[in-house]
Amino acid sequence: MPRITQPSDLPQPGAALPPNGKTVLIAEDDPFIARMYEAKLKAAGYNVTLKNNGRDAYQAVKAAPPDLMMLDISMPEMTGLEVIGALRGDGYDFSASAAMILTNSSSEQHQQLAKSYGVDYLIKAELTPRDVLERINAKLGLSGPEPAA
Amino acid sequence: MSPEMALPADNPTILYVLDAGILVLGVGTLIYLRRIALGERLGKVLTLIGLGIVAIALNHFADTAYVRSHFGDVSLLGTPASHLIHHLGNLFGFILIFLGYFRASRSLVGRSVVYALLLGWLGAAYLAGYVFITRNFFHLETLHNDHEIWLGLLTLGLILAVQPLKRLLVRLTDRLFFQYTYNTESLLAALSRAGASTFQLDRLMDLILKALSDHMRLTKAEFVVIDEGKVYATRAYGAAARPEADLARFDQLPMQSKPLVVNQLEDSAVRQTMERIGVAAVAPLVAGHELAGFLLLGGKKSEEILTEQDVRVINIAVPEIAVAVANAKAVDKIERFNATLQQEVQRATADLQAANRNLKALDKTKDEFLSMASHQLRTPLTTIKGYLSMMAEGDVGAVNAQQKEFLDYALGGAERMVGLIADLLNVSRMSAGRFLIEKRPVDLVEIVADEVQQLSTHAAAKQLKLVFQPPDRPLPPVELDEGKTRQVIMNFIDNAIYYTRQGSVTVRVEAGPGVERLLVTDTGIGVPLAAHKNLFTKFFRADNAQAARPDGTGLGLYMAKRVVEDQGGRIIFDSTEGQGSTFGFEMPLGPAQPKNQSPEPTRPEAAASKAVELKA
Repeated sequence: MPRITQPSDLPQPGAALPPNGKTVLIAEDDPFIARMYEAKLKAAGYNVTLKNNGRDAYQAVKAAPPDLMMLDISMPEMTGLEVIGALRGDGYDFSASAAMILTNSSSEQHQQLAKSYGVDYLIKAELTPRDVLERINAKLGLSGPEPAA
Repeated sequence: MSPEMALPADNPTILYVLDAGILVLGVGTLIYLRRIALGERLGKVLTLIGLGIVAIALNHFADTAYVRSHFGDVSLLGTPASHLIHHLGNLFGFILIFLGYFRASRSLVGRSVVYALLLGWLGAAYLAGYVFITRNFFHLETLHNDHEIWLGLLTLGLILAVQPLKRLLVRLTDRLFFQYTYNTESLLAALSRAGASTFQLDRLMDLILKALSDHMRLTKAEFVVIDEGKVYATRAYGAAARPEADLARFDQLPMQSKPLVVNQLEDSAVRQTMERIGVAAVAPLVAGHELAGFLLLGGKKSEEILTEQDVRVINIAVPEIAVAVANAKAVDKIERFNATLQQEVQRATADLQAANRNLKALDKTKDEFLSMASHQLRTPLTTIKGYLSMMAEGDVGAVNAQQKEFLDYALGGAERMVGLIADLLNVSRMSAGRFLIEKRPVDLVEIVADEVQQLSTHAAAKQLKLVFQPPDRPLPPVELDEGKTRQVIMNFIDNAIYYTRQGSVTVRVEAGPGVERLLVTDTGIGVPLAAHKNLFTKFFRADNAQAARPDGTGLGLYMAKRVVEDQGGRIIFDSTEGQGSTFGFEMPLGPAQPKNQSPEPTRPEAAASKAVELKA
């Protein structure tokens, strides 16, 4: 069996569900984790955009506001929290376009800041991709697949 | 005292009583006068002369009166000379009487009277002798008039005044000739006063040296205080302090209180040292068998040697000085020790403060390291967990039962690791300092509502109903540590959501008598009866909890219990396995809280019963 070293060696998963018309932007610098969420969300019918640094994410959001953005904190250029801060400073409308922080940081400072911004703070390691999908569905008011057995 | 004195006639008894009365009055007045600081000696002399005069006068007056009254003719008394002799006899008689009565001499009056009579008798005897000599050897017809007697008495007074006058003259010429022979009593008194006046070593030494030098007219005087064989302090008056090398020789001095006077010593090393330095006497100060120091006395300014009197005075004074110096030295040592102790304490405190700062810095470093480490450990675990779960869920193709089983095992391992990392963080944060409760008045309803809002997405993701039931009236604020209490509230609600597969989670805040209560009720898997007892202990997880939340740490409830109880509250818990659980706490309202509701601005959300329902 050929050794899998890069995510791109895997066959691209196809969409298992029909498109649901929602766009999600994922800002994550770890390629494996980004790929993981992309696969899960695409299979659920979401239109997914991947960005691997904060500045790109910020510009993409400004150019084309997604229905939901999932931001890592530790990223090059700008952290996820800085992105949200900048968007708030620009008067971005978060009611139409939700944001979630998806991180592995346990820093209380980060948690407090996210809370003050009014965004959910999720710890990646504690959730499976399925859990994350369920949270996103709930946030956007969509029903998702049945709970796992 | 003229013979023609007018007298009351024919009542001798009254006269004698009068005599006695005037005598006592005279004595009393003179003693009283003596009390008005005329100077001790002068006072004594005056008193005695006065009493003598009174005694003789009264005696004479009594006789004259008696003779006159009985015989009408004073000339019967004879010449004043023979009259004097008559007085002598009388007075002598009186002396014997008084001596008989006041033999113990304890009465001041008695003693004064006896002395007065003695003096009067001596004066009269002197006068009689004077008269006898002038009459028989110089053939002078003296004492025709009474005023001769007064002349005689005046002479007597002058004789008695010789000593005080002489002393006055000496004092006046002292400055020129240094012939002052000091009053040993006043020197000893000055030394006693010095010894008793202060405990401060420096001041004591100054006073003593000054007293000695000034009274004895020394060129110099020096103190050397010894402690534990070494020189502790030195003080000099009239000369500079001495180098220690010389002092070492004095160690050989025998331990006695006798001073060593240079001219009395044999020719020895000690004597040579003394002569070289110019010390006339060395007095070792011995207090309680211990050598407290030395007193070094220089020669006299008048260049005389130290006299017997001087040596005697020093002998008397030295033991007292030794004790005073030993005491003062002890006090001085204590004060020095105190000062050193103060310094030590300050240094130790500074050290402790520095150590504390270091510890805090270390704590911070540890914190930062742990944060970074946990972050780094979680990242690969996220990948492992993520892909394994997606495979197990069939996202990349159907999996057979065995494949799923194996994948689940791997997944389980990854979950356990996630839990371990959370444990690591929690335990490190539980350490000293973190668990300080800082209370502030908070609105319980508001913070519970906030936590419910934050967890709404989680509940929705699991398609559970999350309901918040606030109290029907606004509640007064409770004294709580907001941060830690929020964590407890979040923990209860989050747990409820995690451990409930379907149904609802109800969050209720209510008021009780003197308390405010939070209750989180779920329709979840419940807690088995066997686990009720240990549910809130460290690292405990009920058997059925693992499946519902694989990465649970067993610390959440333990921390909740600590936080609640440290704030003076009580944990509420009830559960039936398979049906659901209720977790909560009860916090007391402080004694300062009024029983009736405090008027608070009502918040629109709390006015009506707010139910946050999110349906999937």
